[in-house]
Amino acid sequence: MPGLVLSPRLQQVLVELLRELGRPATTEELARQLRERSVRAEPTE
Amino acid sequence: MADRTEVAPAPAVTFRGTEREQELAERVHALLRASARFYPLHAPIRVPLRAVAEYFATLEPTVSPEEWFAQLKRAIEANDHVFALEASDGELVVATTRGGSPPLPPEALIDTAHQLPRRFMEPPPEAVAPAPRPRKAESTAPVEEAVPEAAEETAVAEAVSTVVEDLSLLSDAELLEAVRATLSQLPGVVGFGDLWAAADIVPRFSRGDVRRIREYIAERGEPLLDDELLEVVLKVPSRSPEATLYRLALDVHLAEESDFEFVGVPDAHAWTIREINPVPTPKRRPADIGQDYRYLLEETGTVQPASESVVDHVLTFYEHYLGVLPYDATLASVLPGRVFPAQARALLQFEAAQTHETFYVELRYPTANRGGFLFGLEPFFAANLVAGALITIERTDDPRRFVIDYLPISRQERRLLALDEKQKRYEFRPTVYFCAVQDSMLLTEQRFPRFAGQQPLDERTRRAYERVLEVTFERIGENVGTPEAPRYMATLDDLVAAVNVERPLSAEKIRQILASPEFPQFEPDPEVEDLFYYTPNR
Repeated sequence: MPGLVLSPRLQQVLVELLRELGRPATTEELARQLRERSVRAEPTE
Repeated sequence: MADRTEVAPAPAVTFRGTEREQELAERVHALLRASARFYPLHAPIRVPLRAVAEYFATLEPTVSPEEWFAQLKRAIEANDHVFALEASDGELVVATTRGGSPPLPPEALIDTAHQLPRRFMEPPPEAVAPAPRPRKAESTAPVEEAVPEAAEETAVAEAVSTVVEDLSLLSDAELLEAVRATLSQLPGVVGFGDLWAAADIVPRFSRGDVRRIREYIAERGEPLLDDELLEVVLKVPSRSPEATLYRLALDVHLAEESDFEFVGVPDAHAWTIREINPVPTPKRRPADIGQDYRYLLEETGTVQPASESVVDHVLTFYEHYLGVLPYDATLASVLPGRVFPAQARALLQFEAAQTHETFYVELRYPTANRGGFLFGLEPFFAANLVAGALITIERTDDPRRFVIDYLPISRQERRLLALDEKQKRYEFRPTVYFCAVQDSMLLTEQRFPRFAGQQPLDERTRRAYERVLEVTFERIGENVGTPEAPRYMATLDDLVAAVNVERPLSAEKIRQILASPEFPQFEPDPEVEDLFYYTPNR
């Protein structure tokens, strides 16, 4: 199975998340926050 | 010889093995560095081993190129922290770097900073084209493919990774994998293990800080946790709000320093330096032990590390003699996993419940072609246990610390198999022990009398599973044929105990080989379970 990499848009969201946190975060915490943010942003279509 | 190359050995590189192997390894490294003196420090230097042997033979013609080849190969294998031996077009190639470490895999050397996907991110894109929804036929697929109209050059990248746009299609585990893979490639993000931060908030350390850390580890003489290094050397209290950030900064910084090596486990990040290695080298070279355990690569793939709190194990002769334990599916379930994929080893502390002693044990993680194992248990095994002993390994609250235990029993005395190291022969010695054993793994004279006087197998024979089994049948099996046309019979229990004198091999693997049509010399009994026959020259 090929590896998974987030799209440029999601990469940008990840970087923003880390900057907003202003502290180290675990992969799990970032994944959870990324999913939450992604769900909030979805109903635009 | 090193002098003739006019390149002094790099002061930071230390060599292992016998005196002769160290000398040869140093000469080879000097030679390779001389041939690549303008290479970057970590760029791979690759030369066919045959060419090196021929070069040595021209300088010292009293030794043939073939003999040089064999001697150099042994020296290089003993120094696998400096060299890698690679097979290329049927030829052995010796590889190293000027820095004195095996070269990194090609993918690790690719500078991704200027690749197309990264350049699209700098500066950040203002508008992103909507990604296509998955076609209905792909709706159950966990991930969404990248834009099909992508340019030719990006198609190559897509062949090795799948770009994810819609997170609702990913399971939690897949999302974790994607986030981890993405963060490890993002510019402006630093991470170590499972922790990440924006690079601009991570503090930096001076050369003086690093030097003091090095001196402190040298003074203490053992691997130390990042927490202790921060608190004692850098005066950052481990309970302060910024401790996590400093811990990450320290781990990231030390990971880039060639003098330091990470030997920790998840949640206990320990560091050591080259000259501090609390585990003595085993009697057999670790690279060879890893080769012996190669068969384990088939079984440890799906094990969840640290999923069990305690496991049992029965010691084999091989393990008892060398002070090793296999990183098999059972032990891997209690031991810690790697902190990062390239981690080669971890140093654990084992506490003996009966003797109240604590000692360091090295966990070698499996590689692509070597099985994983633990070593450093030889003094404890020799003083307290015999081959066949039942032991338990238990996790503690400290992720680096484990309790090794056995069941004490009243005094037992038996004549047990031992190896006379001077005569290079097996013999039975009167042995007193006080530990519970599994009788099927106990190697008594009464059970295997023909082992006495036998010599250990040579390296080539012991590497071929079927040859070891054939010899073992002859050593312990009952001849149910005739003296002229022998046919040996043995139970699986006997074979497991006796094969594991020469090399490690699980009961499952032995059963699989004996029942395989690939080896017609072996056959299972059609009626009795786990009874097998060996007919020579079949």
